[in-house]
Amino acid sequence: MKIRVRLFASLKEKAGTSVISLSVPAGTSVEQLLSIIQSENMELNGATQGVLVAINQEYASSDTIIMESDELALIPPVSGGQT
Amino acid sequence: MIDVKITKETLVLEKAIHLIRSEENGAEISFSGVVRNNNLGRKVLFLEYEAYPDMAEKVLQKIGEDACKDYDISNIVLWHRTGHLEISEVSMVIAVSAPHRAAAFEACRDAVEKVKALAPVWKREVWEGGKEWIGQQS
Repeated sequence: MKIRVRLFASLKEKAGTSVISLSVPAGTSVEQLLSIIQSENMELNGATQGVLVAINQEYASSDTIIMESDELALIPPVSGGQT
Repeated sequence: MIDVKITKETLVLEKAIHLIRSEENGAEISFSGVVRNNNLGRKVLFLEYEAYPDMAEKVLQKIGEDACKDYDISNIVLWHRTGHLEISEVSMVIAVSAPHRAAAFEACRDAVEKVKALAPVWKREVWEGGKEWIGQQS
């Protein structure tokens, strides 16, 4: 299935685009999606450490299966701040 | 009352205070996150904030709803700024009103920590001679 994944901040800058399109097998999990992106996008190789995946604007666990109709986004570590 | 927004416009604390004020509440607490002129020994020139706006507003809304469930408060404002921010500009405002102060202090602190940890908002620090997206360590 064909999917589109939104990128933000450091990942958007590294990839040089705010959306990547790719083809993945049906039944792909969040964890597998991250490995596929790493292997297919040279610019993002090694850049997904600490990155979370949002599905339809909610944080998803690594074993969640993605669907073709999902809105997908990679969420790099957020800005945080010392307490 | 829960009011959330992700905005490129200047955040005005007084407007947040106005929103949370109500006759049954005797305590108002607010937190303003402000752009600092230094980080890790570097002289910061300005910051650029980027958000995943739709998701960030949902996250703020959920944090507000949880605050109203977990503490004895009824009004909370959660705002975050995006775009180019100069030193001393306000990047986020959390404001809470409650019948009594203890709940207001606790709910405000808890909401600030949750926004920092969960809201999909990123900052890029620009200093003399470079720039960098800053992760959780800062």
